[in-house]
Amino acid sequence: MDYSLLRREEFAAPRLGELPSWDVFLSAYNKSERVNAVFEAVRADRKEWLIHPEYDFSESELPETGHLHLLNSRDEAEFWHQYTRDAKVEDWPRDLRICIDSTGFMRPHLILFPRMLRDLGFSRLDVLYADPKAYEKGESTPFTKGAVTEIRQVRGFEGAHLPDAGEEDLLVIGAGYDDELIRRVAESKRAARKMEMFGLPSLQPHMYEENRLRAALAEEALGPLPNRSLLFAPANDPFATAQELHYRLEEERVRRRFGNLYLSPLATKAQALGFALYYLCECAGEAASVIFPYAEYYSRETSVGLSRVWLYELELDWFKST
Amino acid sequence: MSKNPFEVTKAVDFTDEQIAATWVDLPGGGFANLADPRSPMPRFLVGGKGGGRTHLLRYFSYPLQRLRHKSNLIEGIRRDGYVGIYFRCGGLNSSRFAEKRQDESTWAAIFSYYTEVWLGRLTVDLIADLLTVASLELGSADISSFVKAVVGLFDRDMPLLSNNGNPLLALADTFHSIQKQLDIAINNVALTHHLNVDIGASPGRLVFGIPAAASLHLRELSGLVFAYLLDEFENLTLDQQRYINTLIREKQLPTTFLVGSRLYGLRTQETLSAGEENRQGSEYDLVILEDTYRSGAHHYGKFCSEIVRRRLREAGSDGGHSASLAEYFERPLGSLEERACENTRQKVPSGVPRPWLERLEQQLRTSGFAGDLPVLLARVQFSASPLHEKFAIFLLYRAWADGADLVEASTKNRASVERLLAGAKNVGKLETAYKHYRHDLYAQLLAELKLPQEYYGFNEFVRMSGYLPRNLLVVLKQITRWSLFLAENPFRGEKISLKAQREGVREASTWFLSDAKSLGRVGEGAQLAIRRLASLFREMRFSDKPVEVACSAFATDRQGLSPSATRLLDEAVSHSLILEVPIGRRDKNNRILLHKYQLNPMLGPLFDLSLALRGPANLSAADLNVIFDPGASDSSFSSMRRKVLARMDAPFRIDSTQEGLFE
Repeated sequence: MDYSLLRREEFAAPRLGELPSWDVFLSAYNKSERVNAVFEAVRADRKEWLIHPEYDFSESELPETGHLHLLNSRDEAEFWHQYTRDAKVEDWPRDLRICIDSTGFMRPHLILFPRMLRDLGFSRLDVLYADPKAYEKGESTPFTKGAVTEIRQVRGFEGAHLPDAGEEDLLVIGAGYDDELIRRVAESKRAARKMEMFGLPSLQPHMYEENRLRAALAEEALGPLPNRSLLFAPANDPFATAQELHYRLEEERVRRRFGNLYLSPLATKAQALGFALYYLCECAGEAASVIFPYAEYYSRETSVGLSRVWLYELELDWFKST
Repeated sequence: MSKNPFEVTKAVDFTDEQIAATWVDLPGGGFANLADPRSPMPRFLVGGKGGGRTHLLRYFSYPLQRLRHKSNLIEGIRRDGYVGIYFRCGGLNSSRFAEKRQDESTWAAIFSYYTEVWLGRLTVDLIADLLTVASLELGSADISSFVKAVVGLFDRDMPLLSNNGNPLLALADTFHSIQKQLDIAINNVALTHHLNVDIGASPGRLVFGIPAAASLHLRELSGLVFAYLLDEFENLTLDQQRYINTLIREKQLPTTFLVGSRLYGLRTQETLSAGEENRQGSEYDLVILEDTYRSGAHHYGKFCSEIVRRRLREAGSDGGHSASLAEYFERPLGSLEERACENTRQKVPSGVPRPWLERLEQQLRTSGFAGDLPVLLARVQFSASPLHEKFAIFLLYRAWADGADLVEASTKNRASVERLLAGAKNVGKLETAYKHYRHDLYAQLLAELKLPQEYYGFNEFVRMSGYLPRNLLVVLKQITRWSLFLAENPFRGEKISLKAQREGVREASTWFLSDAKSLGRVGEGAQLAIRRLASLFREMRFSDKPVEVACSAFATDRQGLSPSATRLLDEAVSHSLILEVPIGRRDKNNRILLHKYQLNPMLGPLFDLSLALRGPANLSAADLNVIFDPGASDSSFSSMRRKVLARMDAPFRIDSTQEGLFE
């Protein structure tokens, strides 16, 4: 696979007016400046706020502009079933120009959306991701609030796994700032050999160091990690992320072999999208899954400022059929 | 940098070869007494994280049997009397079998069929491998009969996939294909809401039928026990465990089960057999590994030493041959009294009052004893021995709390402490009290001099592990790392410094608290309760008049505990944050048998507590409710803490509102 053929474009904060226009634009509401500024700037016939229960907004805290969809399921499949039913997505023309701002979405929900659109017969989806200037409290920024309640496969990303037959399983963790999530995922696949992917270059120069400091706190759960177990891909480039997964996992298959593959994207939404792209194009139906640690609530505001916006154009007919 | 011999702390991170190389049997009868894969009685091996379950189950597994019997596999396995079919319940990804708009009974039926196929596939793969490695003819009539018998176990026609005329491999391929079809159906239902699964075998048919068919048709395997070694049982939901319990209840020879689970992982003993429950001793045996280790504490120490020696030998260190592992760790110079003296000399400049005397002076002055100050201070000062001075002050606090005449008491006590200091015998009760409290008083002295607490020595690390060998390995891993970081040469002729031991222990302690956290709100609640309990113990230990020596335990008859506090206490026990001492103690007054709970000693260094287990603290049910009930506010805890500490801190008024020493 050559993911570099897919198109992406960068828009600095002052150039948001140059973003293309769409028929439908979806964004998940939270309090971050970068989410709200993009929603304001985007031109679309229909702009929709999707409200995640994980942000725990009361009615009075909801935005006054845009169409609101109050979605009450924490299960990503049910979340999108409710939305597609409410918005009558099945009736949409299949060449509709759809864009989703990934920045505020929960990761499992974000990665399932392209798969669901593909299953409904759409072939193109544009995705935005807004880089912050910094995270609110540096490496101590809390992203999840409350307890992790469950670690499970993401709906639509559940593979056909092998029983334990002596070959090692492999878990690739997209390591973000939240060491608790890394620890939970690593513990859930204790027997798997672990690889960690870091965003490099990071969204801002100082963030790589913050990221490594936090991820180091989960070290005991990860077990011994030889140097070759680290992967690097730009934190805001899903295509480079998918490409790196493609190269390294091919190499791993040849070099050392592995049984089951588990992917867990815990860093930026752009990285999560890259993991999903790799999975949907190369792993669907195989002994591979995406797993995720689900928390009860998430922080509504974690970042400061808006640095730039990325536009990624996904070709949904690249995905393997399942 | 040298390789750290303790880098791997989990059995899952070992290859089969490393499992074999690092295997250490338990002294005094060995693990075979705890878990015999040939025994027809199924057995649960239960324990905290790091007790050695996975190591043990993998040691019994077929891949390890293959390694042990390289020269003649069939002969070796026949001598063993069993084949071990190891599998991790986590591999089933059991959360797939729930919700997705399907009802529970549908999922229960699908899960049981899926597991039948999964275990069937493992068993068929194992038999195919065994016969191949043993160079047996795979196309023989025996094998055809076996394959035919297995196909006949299905409730419907199950055409074999072709595999170049090799029926055994064709059978294996067929199992793979069935499982894949099931996977696709189970996975897609979240998106389609249509679940189209044809259940092909009733519960137990394949799990018991395949070993029976092998025993009947394959001469080489006749008479062998097929032991299913189920690890990570805690990963199954309650409904899923009911299915496994049903298999255990309805077990048929030549099959048996060894099931490994965390303490909290046994959710039910119910079965699907008309709601019948399995009974311990009747349908299954239960072994709690920590209890076994604790009941033979001497053997546990030897077991730990042997594990460490084996690691050191594997890493090529000379530590594997040393007479005593304790020799590899630096000890502080001198007795406690001499160290107290030296530390005080270094931290308190000449002419400056020692902090404990300053504090006492302040307390006496503000409590109406200003007139007696010069006498009282003179009576408790022992400038030659700060630890004896601390003891004299402790005795004064005791007299104060008892409402005694302080001048009279301090005069009498001074004479006794002088005799103690002179090394006289027969000083009576005070000598015993000094022996009991000197470690706590030394800990207080270090805190008041703003020095870190001392944790050192191999035996202390064994004690700290709380009967979980992995904890010991984590402690040694962190200590070795610090030692390497400090440019030392650990386990290679140079002693590991006190600093490396202290820092390593503290990191291991911090790790343990986060690692033992369970999922969900109950996990958050348990963490809060542990922090409250440990900080209370700390303040009790560092109070003016600690009541219990080495405070790290409490006793309760559990009467009066609220349901939520009871639940959280049990949660903390099941996650090894708190250890239940198996034989509690009787209440001093009414002789009722109390449960005794000890804060896991792994947490000791994080809260400056002793690692020793001594008498339990006196906490009422109301106090424990405030600590363990997640609904109790921080202010309720503060108020309870003030009340408890008022008995231990001058001026010893029950209604005191003073804050603790470390507020």
